[in-house]
Amino acid sequence: MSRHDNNRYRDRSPVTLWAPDAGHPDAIGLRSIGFWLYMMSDAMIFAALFAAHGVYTHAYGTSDITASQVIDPVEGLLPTLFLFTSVLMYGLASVALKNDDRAGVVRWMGASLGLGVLFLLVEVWEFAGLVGEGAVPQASAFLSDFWTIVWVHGGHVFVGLIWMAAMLIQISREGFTETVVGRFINLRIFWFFQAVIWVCVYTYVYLMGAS
Amino acid sequence: MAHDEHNPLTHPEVRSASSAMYIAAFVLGIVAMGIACLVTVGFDLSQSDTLTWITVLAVIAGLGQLFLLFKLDLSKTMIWHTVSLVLTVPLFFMAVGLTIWMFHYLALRTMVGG
Repeated sequence: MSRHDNNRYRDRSPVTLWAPDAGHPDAIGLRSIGFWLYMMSDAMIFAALFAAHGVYTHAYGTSDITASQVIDPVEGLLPTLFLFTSVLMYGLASVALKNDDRAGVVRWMGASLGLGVLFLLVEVWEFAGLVGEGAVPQASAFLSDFWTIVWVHGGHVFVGLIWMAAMLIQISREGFTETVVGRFINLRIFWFFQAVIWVCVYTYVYLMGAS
Repeated sequence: MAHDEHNPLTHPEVRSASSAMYIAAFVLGIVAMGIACLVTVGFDLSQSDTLTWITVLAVIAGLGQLFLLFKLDLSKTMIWHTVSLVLTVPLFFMAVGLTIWMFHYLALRTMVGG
């Protein structure tokens, strides 16, 4: 029996478990599709919240506070403007990344961060007003649902802002390494996704609530 | 997804960044939401007409953002992003629609109030 026969139990020749010339794995692409799939599962969390909103839209219980009293679509345009502009600024940071412009990335991402903070401040101001009117989450099923949807989205924005601040530090310190660029692309997915979800929140909660 | 392995800035997802498309997404989103707000508070439409209009505008804004911001297409770089979204969207609408449908008939049969 030869040393390299087909009987693997007896064959003691070295086994190659990978192809040495397979090339560099596409780490950025793999991270991107992995994070994108996570965002798809995140979208299903919002599906559950929108489903609850559909059920509780007019569930006021013993509360005399209705949706049209607490929701102002025109007032809701201000955070819409801040969030969409923040997304635009992040897009311009992406263009600066493409052009290998570190100062440009930091400048546009800083603007995006600032506008994201303004978005949250407007939301806080709006809901502080609701508290003053007694429209707290525990007042009715509708209000608990309204607070939850808006603030789950707001929580996403808050996490995105922390991530953005961390990215600013990493880009300033490390430059455009493969790891940093991969994180930048994932944050771009996360941040742009917040604009798409906000279209649903503004339409389904603010506009439908007032119509 | 071939790119220069030593320079992450040559990756297709980095190269896909485009000022024109980001600005177009911004304008589309703002205009669509502005018109939807105007339709809701500025016109004396029936509730069903209002819902139809703002839903159409939201779909336009959402699809526009998905295409212009994420660059979703059938290219080698993005095809699996696109496929996973196409498979998730029906689940999203089924989860929302079927839940509302179930609780609508539950409320009718049990007379459960809010």
